[in-house]
Amino acid sequence: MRSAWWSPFLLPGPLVVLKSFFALVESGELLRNVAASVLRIVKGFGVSAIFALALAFVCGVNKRVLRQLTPLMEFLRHIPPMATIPMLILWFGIGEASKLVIILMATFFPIFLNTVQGIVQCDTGLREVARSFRYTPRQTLRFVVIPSALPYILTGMRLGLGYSWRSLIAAELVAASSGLGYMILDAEQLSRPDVIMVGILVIGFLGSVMDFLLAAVTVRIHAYGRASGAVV
Amino acid sequence: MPWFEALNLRKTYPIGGGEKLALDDFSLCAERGDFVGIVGRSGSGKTTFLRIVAGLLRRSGGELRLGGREISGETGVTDEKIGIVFQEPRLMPWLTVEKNILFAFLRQPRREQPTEKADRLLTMLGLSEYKNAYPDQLSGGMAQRVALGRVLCYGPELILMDEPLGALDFFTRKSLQEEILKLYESEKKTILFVTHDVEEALILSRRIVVIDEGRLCADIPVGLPYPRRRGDPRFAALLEEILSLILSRETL
Repeated sequence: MRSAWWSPFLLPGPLVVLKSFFALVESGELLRNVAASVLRIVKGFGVSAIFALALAFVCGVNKRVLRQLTPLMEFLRHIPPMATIPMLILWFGIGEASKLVIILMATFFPIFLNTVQGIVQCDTGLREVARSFRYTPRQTLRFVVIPSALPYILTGMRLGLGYSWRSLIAAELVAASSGLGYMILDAEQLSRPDVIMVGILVIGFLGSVMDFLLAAVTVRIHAYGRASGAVV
Repeated sequence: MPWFEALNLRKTYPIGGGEKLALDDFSLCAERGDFVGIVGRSGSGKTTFLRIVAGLLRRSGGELRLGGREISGETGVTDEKIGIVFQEPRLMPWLTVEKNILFAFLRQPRREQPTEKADRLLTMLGLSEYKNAYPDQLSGGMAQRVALGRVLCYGPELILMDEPLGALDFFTRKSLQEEILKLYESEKKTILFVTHDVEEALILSRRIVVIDEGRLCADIPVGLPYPRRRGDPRFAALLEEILSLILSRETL
């Protein structure tokens, strides 16, 4: 199909893209690549969230640890995950490990920094209320600090999830044989912009769905997410 | 021996390499069921005193006793419960009104939480309809009522109030003053009520303590029956006496 306004090679028309989408679904190629990417995202994001939340709580509660770690964190935060790919291949090989580390690097800081911010900015007035009722520091953390930091944590998780999809292409640059990033790169080699468009649209769609699910789960856990406007 | 005793309390704050004396040998006693209004101008040490009693601030010296037992200088912990109502409601924004009232008990298993008591308090404070509302859905007066309910649900023998009506408009303030009096008469708790509004202290308190520069200046019994009227000449005379006492110290 030709268009008088633009070259279909630069921007394939919607019908062509739709056709390619159904063809990829029919052949099972799309589902296979989606499954591979989602699995990488879930693993990378999950591991990153566990590390980032654990370290953020240690730093948020213990200001001395936060002060000592801040220079290192600032240094690491500014390194683009893609710049580390050659070193990651040297250290972790071309298997799944290096791909997960790239996703982990991209998602760690939004979760870590937002969580620390949430804990540090917990209203001292609310902490005092807990103290006046003789809450122990651990009880205060559980019943005041964590719920108060929840909107920040959620924002960090949502940003992290978004970054994990963004870093997927970089992760699947490393000798991947499956995944949406691989599918897009392969389509580039084969000059198939329609397949590239399918990959891009599917990534956008899956990212939105996962973000919606994360928000919905948090709303169920905590009404404050909705009340604070952190969840829409 | 009085039920509540603060003896020679001292509190200093480090300021720019030096020290500021916030409480200077401040002593105050109260019997069970007393309602003591503590008045004084800003920075006179009223809030510092209350925060020390609540265990939110460490004292630099002196003694605190409640029911004959020493209150620890480190934490303020005592066997007797002490509750504090702050100037701002300080409600947990993620909890409903009911859960905020039950806040002191949230660390306990659900079946051990005094939900019936919370229901009673909600009715008493006119908040039944708002049981499942969140703090951002309440007016300032309603939020302060919830804060009051939270402390009453905790069941302290001694209630500290740090200008709890200070941030409210005139009408809400009047209605909450009546509410506090009703609660005082029904619950018979001991209340230490800090305010900079002498008239408010006269409407509510059995005794008024004047504090200036961290020192006790006067301890004046208010021998008027409740409810008190501003038009009462004895009310006006007491108001005049206390105001002139505070103002005369201000000009010193």
